[in-house]
Amino acid sequence: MYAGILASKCFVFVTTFAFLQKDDYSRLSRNASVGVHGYVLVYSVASRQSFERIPNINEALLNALGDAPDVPRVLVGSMKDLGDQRQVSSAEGSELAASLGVPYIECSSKRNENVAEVFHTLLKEIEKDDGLLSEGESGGCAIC
Amino acid sequence: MPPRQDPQLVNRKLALLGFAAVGKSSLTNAFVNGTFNEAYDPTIENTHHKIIRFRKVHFATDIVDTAGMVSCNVCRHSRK
Repeated sequence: MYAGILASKCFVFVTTFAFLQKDDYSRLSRNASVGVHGYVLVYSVASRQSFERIPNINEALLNALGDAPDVPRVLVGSMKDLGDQRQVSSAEGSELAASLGVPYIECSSKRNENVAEVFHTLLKEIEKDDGLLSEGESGGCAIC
Repeated sequence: MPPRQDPQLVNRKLALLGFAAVGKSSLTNAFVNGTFNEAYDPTIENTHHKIIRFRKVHFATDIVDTAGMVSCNVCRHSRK
């Protein structure tokens, strides 16, 4: 009986703490963290500040998801049409993506360049383990 | 007559994260509606739905367009 009360108090404490930590730290809404299969991490190639926040956001995301190791993600450098205002090079973008172990895409929503690719690449990342989108003709059986 | 195979329908939920004003909503709108608007209107949170046909698979997706994460650093400092 006592143990039960103690356990439930602990549970309340833990959940409150987890809630506070999540709310305080990452500001990831419930809808943006529950049941999500994959994430698009976006920065603007015309804003170095937004680029420098990516590791922070990535860390907050993994934290909020309970340090799940293999969350499907893609890194996106947006606004690639703003050539003269560019503050982050493509090389820096790919380097950061490589360090996070995720694909990198630069896109322009204004010119509709690489927009669909962002979502297709994320779907490929999500499905890469179960072979739903395998490119081979055989249907993805590793043994045959 | 061979049996007709319905395309697979797979439910997937995707979310966009990033600093404020990087173009998360523009990217979502460009993809979901094919539109682009130069004006900036900060998002609180929107969920869009789109069937994505990709490599013969039909994905019924929920795309969560989130509010820009502006205060991560501030929060982190305040925690110390």
